[in-house]
Amino acid sequence: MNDATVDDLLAAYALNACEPSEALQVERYLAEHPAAAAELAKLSTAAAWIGATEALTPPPRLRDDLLAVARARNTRSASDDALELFRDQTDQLDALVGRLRADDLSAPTANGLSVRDLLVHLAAMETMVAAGVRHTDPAIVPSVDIEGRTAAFIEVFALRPLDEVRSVWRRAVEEIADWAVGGEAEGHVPWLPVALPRDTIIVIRSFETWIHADDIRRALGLELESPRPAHLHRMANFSMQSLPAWLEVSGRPHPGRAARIVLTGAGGGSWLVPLALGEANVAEAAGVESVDVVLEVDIVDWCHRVAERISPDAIAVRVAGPTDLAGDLAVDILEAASTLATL
Amino acid sequence: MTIELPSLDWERCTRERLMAGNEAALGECYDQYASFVYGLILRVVRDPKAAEDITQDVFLCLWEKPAVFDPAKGALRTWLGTLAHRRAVDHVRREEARRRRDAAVLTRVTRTPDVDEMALALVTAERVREALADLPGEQREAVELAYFEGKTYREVAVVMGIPEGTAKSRLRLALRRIAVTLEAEDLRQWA
Repeated sequence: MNDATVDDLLAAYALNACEPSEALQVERYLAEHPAAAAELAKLSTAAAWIGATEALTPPPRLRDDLLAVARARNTRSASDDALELFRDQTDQLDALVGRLRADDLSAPTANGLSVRDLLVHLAAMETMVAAGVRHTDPAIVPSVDIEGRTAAFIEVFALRPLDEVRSVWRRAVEEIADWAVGGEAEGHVPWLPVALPRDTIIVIRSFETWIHADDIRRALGLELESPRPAHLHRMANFSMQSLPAWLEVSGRPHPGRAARIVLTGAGGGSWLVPLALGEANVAEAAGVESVDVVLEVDIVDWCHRVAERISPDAIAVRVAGPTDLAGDLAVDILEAASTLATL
Repeated sequence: MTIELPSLDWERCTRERLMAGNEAALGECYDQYASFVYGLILRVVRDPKAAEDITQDVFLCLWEKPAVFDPAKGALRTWLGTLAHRRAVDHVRREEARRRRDAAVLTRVTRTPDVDEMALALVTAERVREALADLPGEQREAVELAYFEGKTYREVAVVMGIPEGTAKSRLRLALRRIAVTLEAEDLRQWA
């Protein structure tokens, strides 16, 4: 379908009057053509206003019914932003999967798996985490080695429909969310030897879900989607709290040294990070205390670095420090930042 | 005509409150937009019970996934209207078009949190109603078949006995004229 053909479909799309396959093509086209997206916005507004010509007050009981159902489904609370992050990211991935066409599934993604196998990988991971936090045996296959489990899942699901993969993944996501709602303070993820705080587990799973959803979007030429600022901040904070451990694990600790890492953009912040384990706690606060290096990075770039979706060389970072050591420290910080992705 | 527009800040703030699970925020959204959403859906599905169910689904969608609504990309009214229309059309296509049932005894717009916004919406709706009436007959018929009858442009072409390309261009011309009407009324920022 060429550009002019897609352009011709914009009004029909705004009126929900395209065939489903055409609608998907329009959406892909829009992601790359801002002028068409702006035109569609105008046409959609016009379409919505056609609906407004029919305004009619619904029966009074509908309001009470709605609020009763909403209350029953309200799993959020002001303090549970980790679970909200998890639900947001898993819902967004689920919606994305629901829109995939058969010929999308073989597209290669950033981590080498096809779109289909990447979803199988997520099903493998989520079923393993669900088993870990609920103290049950992992579903489908017993392996808890990430690569081995993924390979085994790919083999098991090779001839099964994608809906089945999606269903296994979704069920595991719900099990994890149910566990999180249950209020346990910590749990195990089977591939790590330590118990992790409940929020850490939830944030790690959210992070991976977001990154893989973006892997799929990137593979299909769709626009990438960043989590909302509060959620980006949540993930960035997790990475900052973990950074001293990651420096140790990756063999790059700097005892007695400290960095200030400033993440810019919506959801950003400023963290004081000791560059080795067993020293002061990571603190999120602005300040002017003496540090050995100051890094300033866009928060989305930082998160992509944590997920190893951007190399240290390619990331735009401002580095400052009192001595020549600052540059070396910055390199080690950026290298260590992706430790979790490589475990 | 100069119009005080609903505040983008209000929409952002409401979205944040919805994300935090604030039920009062959902109630306010409902009071503000329920007549718009319900009336639109009822016009398409022509079944009061189905219209109630779909209206509830639309607001529950906002409740459960407020992050999907992006105030930077358009007004909440447009977002809800687009979602409501899609759900209504899906229903019609699933159930097949039913005969219109009597939806009488239902009164026009009542209490709302933002009376100004609703008053302006009524004015705008009247302008759009006039613009629809002023459309050339073949454009009006095409857009009504698509919007209110839930027909695809291909079905519109079949019903009207015209080529598919003509159906697409009639839909586009009609929507553009309405868009121009909205702009002429200085209502672009509703978008």
